[in-house]
Amino acid sequence: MVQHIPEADDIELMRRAAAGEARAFHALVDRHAQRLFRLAISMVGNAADAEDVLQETFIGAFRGLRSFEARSSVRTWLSRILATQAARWHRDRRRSRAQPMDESIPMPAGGPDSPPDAGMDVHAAMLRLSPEHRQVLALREFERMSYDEIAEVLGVPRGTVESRLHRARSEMREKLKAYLP
Amino acid sequence: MATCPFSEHLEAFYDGELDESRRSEVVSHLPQCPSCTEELGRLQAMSRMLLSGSSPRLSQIGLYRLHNRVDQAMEAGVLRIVRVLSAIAACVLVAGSAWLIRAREDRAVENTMPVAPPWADVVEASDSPSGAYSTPAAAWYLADDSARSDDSP
Repeated sequence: MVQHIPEADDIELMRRAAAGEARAFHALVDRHAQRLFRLAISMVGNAADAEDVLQETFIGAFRGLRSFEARSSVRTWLSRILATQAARWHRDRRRSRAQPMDESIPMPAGGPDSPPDAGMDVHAAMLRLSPEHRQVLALREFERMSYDEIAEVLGVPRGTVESRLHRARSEMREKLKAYLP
Repeated sequence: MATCPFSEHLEAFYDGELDESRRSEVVSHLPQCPSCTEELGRLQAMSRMLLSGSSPRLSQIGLYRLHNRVDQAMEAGVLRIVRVLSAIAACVLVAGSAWLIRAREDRAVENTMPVAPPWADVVEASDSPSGAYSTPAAAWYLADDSARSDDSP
């Protein structure tokens, strides 16, 4: 299943995939799946839903192959589709009201405002952030994206990225203060 | 406790988002400011913690499912094109059949019409006695002609 097309960059793969070469698109999937999966987990909170969001992301990318104009990198373009799919996932979840978001996230024994205990990992602390703060923190810390790239992915002004990132870090510092200097 | 005026730029400095002049100001400020140095240390520690936290990976079966789903989407795209082409072909077939049926009916109507040309009656009438003329103009002419022959000396 893994399709290795060496020495072809993302743009070249996109061009070939748009021309109908299925192998090129599968190569793009292999190249970006792990990175996007981690991003998806940081956005939706669990592996099963992250896998669904990831699938929808690549299907969306496949359908939009011809609309890609290479104004941004493929990495940014895919991340933007993922962010859109994750936002849709949050919206559907809110609409169905089957289970509030925070109920699926492991919480420390002391409640949401208590400091993390020894059993709580950083990932769980991050999942206690709001989706907006979690997104911006994941794109910055995991993806190492610039503020402008994050703004493009999320479709918000750069100033919003800065303020969300600042708040996300403040909240994380509060939640992880037992571990931080 | 008064906050350092540089503290608001520390995050942007840490993220590499400051322009060159502002960046050099912060660099020269840091050795003189323990609170900013401490804050920078906290930002670095948090990044390390986030990156060292569990790094979930998509399993091989998950990757297989992903490729499978992409294949399905590709096939669905091809099927959609085939469906559109089939619909167009069906429309052409129906329109063509209707046209053929109509053309055959028109031909059948033509076959039921008399084959003789329009002047056939006139030619036929010239050989008949005057009362049998079916064309009014011819009847009038011949009638007038007989009157003229009656008046002749």
